[in-house]
Parts: sequence; C-alpha cells; structure tokens
Amino acid sequence: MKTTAPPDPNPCRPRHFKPGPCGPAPQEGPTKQVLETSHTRLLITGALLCLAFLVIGGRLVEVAGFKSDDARIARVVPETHTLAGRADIVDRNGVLLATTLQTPSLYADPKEVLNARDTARKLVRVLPDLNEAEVYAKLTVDKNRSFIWLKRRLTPRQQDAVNRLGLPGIDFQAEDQRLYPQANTVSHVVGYVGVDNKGLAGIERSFDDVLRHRRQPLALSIDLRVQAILREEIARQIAEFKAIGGSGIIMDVNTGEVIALVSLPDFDPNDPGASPTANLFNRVTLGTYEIGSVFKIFTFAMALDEHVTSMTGGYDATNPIKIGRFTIHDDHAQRRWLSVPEIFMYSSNIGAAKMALDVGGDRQRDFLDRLGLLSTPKFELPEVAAPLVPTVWRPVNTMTIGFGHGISVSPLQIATAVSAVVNGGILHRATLLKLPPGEPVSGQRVLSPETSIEMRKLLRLVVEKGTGKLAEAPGYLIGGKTGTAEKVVGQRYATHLLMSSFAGVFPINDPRYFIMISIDEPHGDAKSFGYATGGWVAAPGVSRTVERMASLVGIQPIDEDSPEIRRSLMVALPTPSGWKFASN
Amino acid sequence: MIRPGTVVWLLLVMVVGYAMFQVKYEVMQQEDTLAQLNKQITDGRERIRVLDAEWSYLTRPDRLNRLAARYLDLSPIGSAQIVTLSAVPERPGAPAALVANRAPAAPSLSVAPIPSMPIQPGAEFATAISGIEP
Repeated sequence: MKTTAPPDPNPCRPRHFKPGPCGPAPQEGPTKQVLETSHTRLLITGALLCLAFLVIGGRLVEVAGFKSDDARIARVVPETHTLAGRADIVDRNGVLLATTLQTPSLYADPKEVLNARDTARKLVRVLPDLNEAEVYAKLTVDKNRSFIWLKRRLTPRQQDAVNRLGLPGIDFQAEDQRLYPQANTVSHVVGYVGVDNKGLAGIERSFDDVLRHRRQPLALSIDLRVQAILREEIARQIAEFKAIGGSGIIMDVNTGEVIALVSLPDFDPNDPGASPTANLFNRVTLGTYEIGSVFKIFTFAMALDEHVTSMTGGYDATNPIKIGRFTIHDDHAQRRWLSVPEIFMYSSNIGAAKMALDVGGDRQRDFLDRLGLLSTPKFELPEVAAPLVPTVWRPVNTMTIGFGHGISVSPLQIATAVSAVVNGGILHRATLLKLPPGEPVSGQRVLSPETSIEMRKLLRLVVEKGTGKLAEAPGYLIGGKTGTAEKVVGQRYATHLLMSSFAGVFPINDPRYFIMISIDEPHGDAKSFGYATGGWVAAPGVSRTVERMASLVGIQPIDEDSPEIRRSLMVALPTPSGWKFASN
Repeated sequence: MIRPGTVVWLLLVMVVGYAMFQVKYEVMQQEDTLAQLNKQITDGRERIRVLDAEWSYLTRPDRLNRLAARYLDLSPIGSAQIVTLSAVPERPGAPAALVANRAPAAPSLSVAPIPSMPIQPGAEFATAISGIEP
C-alpha cells in the first residue's frame, strides 16, 4: 500500500483537471475559504453529536445504575388486582355475615355461534333450568349483537359442565356475587343487595357507599351466637302459641350497642324474592306498637324522678276510672289502695293513670321526648319508623299513655329508653356498629341515679313476685316488666288479638343487657291456662334466652339469696300489720 | 485495513449488544414470573374468601346446634354448673403450697368438676364421627 500515490490533496477536483507538477496547489482565495467553512461546520456538528451521546449515556447510567421511582409501578399492580368488589360485613367477633365472591356468568356471542339449535340443545342439557326455546331465540334474534347473557351466576360444577361441551361463541365472565352464609339468622340487620350489587335494605343499603369503597370488613355490634339463640327462642314461642310473628332485641345498656335484633318471620337475603314481601318487614325498627304495660316503666321513672310520688306513696285502685267514653280498669284487679311498688307489681292501669295525671301532660311529654320516645330514632338501618304520638295531649291521653296505650313506638325506642332508665340515667344512642371496647360512650343524663336504682328494685319485684315470674333465670337476676296490648284493628281495639311482650334487664343489680321479646297475636294454650299475656307468652322466652346467652357474654351467675343482693334490691310493701320488706 | 482500535470497538459493540439482549430476555422472563405470581396471589386470596364463606356457612349456629344435638351428649351449661374457685372443696391431702396459694380465692370463674370417666380409646368417638353429615 505504501507504493501507491500519496492521497490527493484536493479530492474535489474534476477528474479531467490535473494540477501542475510543482507541489500542492497553493491554497488561497476562494478555495481556502470554502475549506475553512466546512471545517467549522464539521466541528459544530461533531460537538452536537457528542453532546447528544453524552446525554443518552448519562441517562443510561442513571436508569441502570440508580434506583428510580419507576420501580414502584410494578409493585402496586397486585394490590389493585386483588381488590374485592364490596367489603365484607362481620359480627362483633369477626364472624362473616356477608361476603363477595367471584362467580362465573355465562354469555354468548351470537356472531361466533356456529349452530344455534345444536348449541341451545346442548346447553339446556347441562343447565336444566334454562329454556331451550328461549336460549335459541337469544342466539338467533339479533345476529349483530356480540354479547348476550344466557345465565348469571353459575356454580363451579355448572361451569365445568359447560366447558366440557366445548361450544364456540359461549364464554364466561367473572362477576361479583354477594353471599350471606348465615342465611335467615341476621336477615333484617344485614339486608340484601340487588342483581347489580347495590344495597337495597338493611346495613347493605345504609352503608352502600362505605361498603363499595372500603377494604376492611365492617364490624357490627351484633353477636351472632346471641342472635341465633334469641331467634330460636322467639320462634319456639311463636310456634307454641300459634302466633303470627314476633320480635326481639338485646341491647348493651351501657353503650347502646344492639347485640341481637330479631324479627320473625324473616327471609333469606341470598334470595329475598323467594319470601313473601311481609317477611321483609322489620318489626323491631319499622314496626310501631302500642306496647301496653311495659310503658309503665317510663311513667314510674318520671313520677319518681319528678318527686311526684315516692316508693312509699300510693294510689287508690278500688274503682275503675271513667273518663269520656273510656273506662280504665285493671287486668289483675286488687280493688284496694295500692302502694307504688304494688301498682307496678300488679301492673295496675288505674294506679298508673292516676300517677301520670299527677305528673301532668306537659311534664310527661317533656320526659318522654327526653327519652327519645316522641321522635324518629337515629339508627344505622334505613328501615326506621316515626312513633305515632297524639297531636293534642289531653288529660285522657296522659292517662292512657301512662299505661302504654294511645302511643305507638318501635321496640328499638323502648330498648334505648329502658336502657337509660336502668343504667344510672344516661341515654345512649342505639347503634348497630361495634364500638371500640373499653372506651367511654357519650350520652346525656335524662334522670337521676337514685331514680334509676329505685326502678331496678321495682323491675326485680315484678319478676320475683309480680306478673313476670316466668322470666326468672336462676343466678342471673332478671328484672323486667310484662306488657299485653290489644291490637288496634280499624278504629277499635280487638280484645282477642294481643301483642304480648316482656322487657327485661339483667343482672338487675348491675345492669348489662336489656332484652325484650314481643309475640304478635299469640293464642293461649293448656300449658298457659288459656292466657296469652306477656307474662305467659314472652317471659319464658326471655328466661331461656338469658340462661343460654349469659355464659357466652361472660356474666357470672350470682346467689340471689346472698345478703348483699337482698339488701340492694329491698322494696318495702305494706301488709295488714304494717310495712314489710318484700325480699325477706 | 482494520486498525486495532476498530477491532476493540467492534468487540465492545458485540459484547454490549449481547448483554443488552440477555438482560432484555431476563427482564421479560421476570415479568412473566411476576404476572404468574400475581395471578397466584389473586387466586389464593379468592380461594381463601371462598373457604371463609364456606367455614362461616358450615359453622352456622343453627347447624352446630342440630349436629350437637344429634352426635354429642352435651347440653348448654346451666348457671348451677358455674361456681367460684373458692366454693370448690379442698382435695384431701393436697400439697400445702397449693392450698396456701388457693386460699385467697379470687372470684374467678371455673366449671364445676365433671365426674371422671374411663376413656375408651377412640371407639366411641369413631362411631360418633362416622355418621357426621358431609
């Protein structure tokens, strides 16, 4: 290579031009200028390219060598992938009440289906509840559609069977399905959802938005075990007395948490359409009833708190009261002067009416309003009824309301108000949500602690000696009040159609739980000697429920005959020979 | 003519190119694994949810009640069966230390003693569970 001619100093020259033989051509004039210009241009271009490569190189080093934020994208993916459609609902112990599962739904793409008749026939063979003609119609009616549902929510077994057919144009799409493993047991509390998973009743409806956007399960105040016990015992009473329905509520008197809420007949939230519409009705919150003598609890609390009468006072209950077209008489008539505890014990309407009249209509209305009995309660369920309250509060209203007629309230309101009467006088809002344990719950004082203690004694007296003896549960010290109300049919009271209730509190010396059972239209039987009153129909259910639930909620049985308990619940009763302590 | 510099650069280009593709395939493989793992996690969680629901369904209080009534010789605990520790009589000849410890009996709960029964190894239990519904 060394032998070849030295490189041409001017490669741009025309081929036919040869420079003179005397050395390189002098570079001057226009040629030199052109060369210098191109030199500069080359330099600039090179520098720019170098810069570009430097930038790219730097970026490469940065991406490869240092951790960048982009890595996070990869890590977020699984979380969003596994987000369930709707949050679970659990009870206070974390037992599942409602959950969401992915279930396959079957759809067809009519454009892809090869033989509609054959496809329809094969599908109906594995899914017998489909109609062959209908499926065929769906597959053929509109060839331009590329999506049509054939069947929603298949079981894994059905999905497998359809897959085995290997039909073209038939496919599955996963859909969220709401499931209620406890079926009927908590139906009225949890409620149910529609096909598109929108809440239509109960907690599902009132917390629809929350459940949609939440990931942790929603914990209710309900204790499933207690709920099941209460439901079973109410069902037993309904069956025994051939009643048309019943309701029950258990509440923590110190927090307002609802531990159990039962309304029978009920429904299966997995398929609410299968039950008659009447079963969807929540008797505890949406039903308002004239509750009868249970209401005397409020009359007595009011009279004692306002110091209108005292535990040693009394009223003459010898003769029925006639006012206007009403006659107020006693069911368990004693026909004599009765002391205040006796009026409560024998559930004397005459005594309660006179007591209410002594307090007066205005103070009565104020007191009942303070206990939340005259306004629609605030509660977590959408199915909450307003009480039926007389518009004009005449003396006759004062008297009838004194023993629980002429005013209709829901069992939920009774539970909230009685809890306040026995817990020392603090009214807590009823709630279905689990409150953090151990934290003080806010409430407002509605009556004095002294009145509350006196009311406990009176309630215990009813179970020990009065109309509620059948509610006794040995060791658990129940106190309570019976109530039997004639149902209003049309414009009048129907004497043979009763609403029989028992409202109880236990243990009465240090109240923990309120429990009320109401039985709708019970019929007395031989075992109850034909009686269908609250003391015969509802009280035994309360007794059994308390016996079964007490050990579950950690209540220790106590000796009712121990001197401390006796002394704390002593009530003086008049006897022909003077006042005598009832509990001796 | 190939200068040594060119050779070095060519080699470098080849090495870098090879390494780049190697890394790329590795990343693709890792991404596949990641997607697979994510799917496994999703499936696993879904299975857990199904099992949770099934467990909750199978331990319904009314079902347990029914099964207990049919297969167990037990009934709900009554209030008479629950006593305080102090109400339990001392066992004659108990070690002195134990007696001393138990003296200030706290009002803690304890279940009344159940008369001890000779345990027949497995026979009864086996017959009991053989009939349990699936």
